[in-house]
Amino acid sequence: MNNFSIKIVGPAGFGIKVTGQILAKYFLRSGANVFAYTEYPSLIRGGHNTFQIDVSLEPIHSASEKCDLLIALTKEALEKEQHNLNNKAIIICDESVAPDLRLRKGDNIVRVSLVELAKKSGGELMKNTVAIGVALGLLDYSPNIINDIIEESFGHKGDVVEQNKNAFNLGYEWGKANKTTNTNEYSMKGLKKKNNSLLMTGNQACALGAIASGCQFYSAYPMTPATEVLHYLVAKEKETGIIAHQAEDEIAAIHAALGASFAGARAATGTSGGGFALMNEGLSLAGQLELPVVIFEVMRPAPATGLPTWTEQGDLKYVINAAHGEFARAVLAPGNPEECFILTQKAFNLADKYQIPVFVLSDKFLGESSYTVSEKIFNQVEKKVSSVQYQLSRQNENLFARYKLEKDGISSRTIPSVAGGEYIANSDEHDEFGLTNEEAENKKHNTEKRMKKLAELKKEIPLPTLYGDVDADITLVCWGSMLGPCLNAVSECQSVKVSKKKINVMHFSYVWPLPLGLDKHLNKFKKLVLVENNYQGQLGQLIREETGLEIKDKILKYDGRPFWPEEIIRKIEKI
Amino acid sequence: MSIDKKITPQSYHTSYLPTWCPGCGDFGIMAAIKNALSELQIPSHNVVIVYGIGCAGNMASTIKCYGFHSLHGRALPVALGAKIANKNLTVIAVAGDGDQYSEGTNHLIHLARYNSNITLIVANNRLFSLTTGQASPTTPEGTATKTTPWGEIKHEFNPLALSLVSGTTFVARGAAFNLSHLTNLIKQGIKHPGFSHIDVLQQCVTLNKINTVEWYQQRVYELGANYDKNNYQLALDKALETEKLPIGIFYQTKRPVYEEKIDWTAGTNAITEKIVFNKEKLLKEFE
Repeated sequence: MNNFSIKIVGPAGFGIKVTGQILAKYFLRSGANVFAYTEYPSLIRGGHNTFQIDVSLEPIHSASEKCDLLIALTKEALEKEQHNLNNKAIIICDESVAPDLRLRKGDNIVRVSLVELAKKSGGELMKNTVAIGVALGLLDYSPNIINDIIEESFGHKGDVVEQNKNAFNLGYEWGKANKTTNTNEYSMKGLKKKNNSLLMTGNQACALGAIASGCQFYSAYPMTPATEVLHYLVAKEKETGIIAHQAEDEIAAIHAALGASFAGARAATGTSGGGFALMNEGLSLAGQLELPVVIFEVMRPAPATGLPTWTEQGDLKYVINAAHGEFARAVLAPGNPEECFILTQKAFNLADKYQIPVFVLSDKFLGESSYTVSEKIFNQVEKKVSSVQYQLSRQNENLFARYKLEKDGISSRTIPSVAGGEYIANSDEHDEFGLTNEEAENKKHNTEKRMKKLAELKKEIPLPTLYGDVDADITLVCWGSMLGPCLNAVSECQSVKVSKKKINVMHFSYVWPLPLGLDKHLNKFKKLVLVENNYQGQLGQLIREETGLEIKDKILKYDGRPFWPEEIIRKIEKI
Repeated sequence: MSIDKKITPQSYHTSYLPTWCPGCGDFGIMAAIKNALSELQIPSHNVVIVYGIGCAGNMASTIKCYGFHSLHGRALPVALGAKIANKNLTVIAVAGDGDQYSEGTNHLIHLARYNSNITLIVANNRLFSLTTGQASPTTPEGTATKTTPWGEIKHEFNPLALSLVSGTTFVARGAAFNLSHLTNLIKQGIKHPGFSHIDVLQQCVTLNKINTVEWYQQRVYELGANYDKNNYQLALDKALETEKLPIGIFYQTKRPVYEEKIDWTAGTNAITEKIVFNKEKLLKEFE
């Protein structure tokens, strides 16, 4: 077997996430490619939490639909998951878990005294750690590196480290002793230890991108699934020098970022759809004042509170069209953490160069899933662009002509403390100094100035990235986080020959403005199939609006879950 | 303008002609701000004034400095961002009562908590005036306005009492028609290390026919030299007075300032802070 999927499930408060992360790191450090996907409801205790780890010798970009090894910490958790199992799956659960479950023929249920073993090592809470010990014992994996990972995970908790090590060992011994033949196929003979792989979420990569960009000020209000960006940056304040400010609400968050940007700091804010709704007036303000600002929008299913901890690509058209009035903006939609890191830096530079708001649009699936990322990508640090004049050669008695009409719409900008650079950043329509001006000609020229930047920006937007052979029967068209499931669907199709058709993937990581020449480019492909995690096929609508070209075949999903590659394959087969 | 030239109120003039009604209290507030800045000899390029929206916000085009005419209610969060970014700047926020006490009340409470070194000046004419006269949170109960034709039925809001209980470290009230007193209050507010809130009694000559300058002059009195501005309980009592209207510094105390407490940037400014991207160190936790 070249890949398999392990899933740990149980109520919130059972340590599902921490155990899952230990196991994910274990496989990563053993040399495998890992993708970790987590589902959890919006509550603190109870409910049904899952942590799924896909382990593969090949590159892996998304979570699979069903798992091969399930660790179920309660009966309820097992019942919820019994239909998400591959054939011949192994199920590890406590011996007390009901024998009345109707499992399929071939499923291998392993009942272990998880609770008893956990109590022996210090407390019932550690039954999760016992369970991963059992799993690795059964699969005959070496326990060598696990102690390091346990120390890193619980190092700050004193006795808990030793207790968890004991819990793991008791589980491991049990697993080893009860190993049966059908677990051998999980052994992954080709595993070789690599040194440059990291396990990272999209949110973490965005935050690292902000640090690499020299972002000096980040203000945000907690909102799932964007909060991790704030958590990460706050944790790194002293190490990096960034200031991460928790504002009183999202309105304040974006306005503080604009105040900091006005004063000369590289500034950003971040939220999810509902918080972004509150930021809309600030977005319009950035457009009018021509202030650079980067906005992370990590989407979750809506309308309203929607599904706070789940995923959807429902805000594409919203982010492109939000806020009153007409002005230029850019929307970048990274497909994986590598792109999160690189495009976040791009976002800061575009914002500074064009003096506009720039979005980094991701979602819960990309933001909170852990991907295997090459460490080398973090060498790609972009040189900073700035349009600020820190000194003026000529001092004037009057205000500085900050909004001077230039051919490309981009005027030079001063910041407070630059003598002779005083101007008014005026939300009212204004003249070149920022003084209020309601003349018709002035408004017309300023609108053209602000929109000219969009035309200039469009010139440097690249065509969508193509993955796979140029010459294919079917081209899956996607954006943002759906890159992973599409790539996995294609490699799955090729390796197990489920489809005779040749398939490639076209991924848009620049979703606004769309690039020049897109219509011609799209006409080169035999058959385009839209894959989007929303109801309307919003990228498809956008492409049609911009190019007149309609992508008729659509694979859409809007149940709060990401696409599983298997689903995409089933849909392709029907086309 | 050369730096060593003496700074006068004229140093803050722009070519823009104010658009207020003749006799508007905003003229007095604008003059007091220019006087205070020039008396403190703060060069215009080191001054940031963030304005809200309303008649008071329209002051934006009339003062030469780094002005930021923000949105209705949003002067304070913008001012906070600018101050955190560059602690060396003198940051002032100018808003109206509809602006700060209605749309922007939440920000007022939180700025009081943060104690950022910002001076807030609220032109309080007890009415929405730029939108031609609707009731504001400081419109007295019973007052007829365009939105309360049968008299305001909501209770009046007490901005200074709210500010005091929220933690503002400099709470004051001035009057737009008492220029030298207001100038001094603004100077004290700018010099105060922390968040200063100056509520300014202001006439609206066109739309508020009740709270006129004469009406105020019959009620206003100055907190005398013997008034103990460090007495919190006394300040609260003064803020709750409604028959007579005290002006002056109600309360002043010292508390650490938000942007100064961000100790990893001590001695530097966010805008000059070189953010350290130490790849090896940062990536360790992801291995």
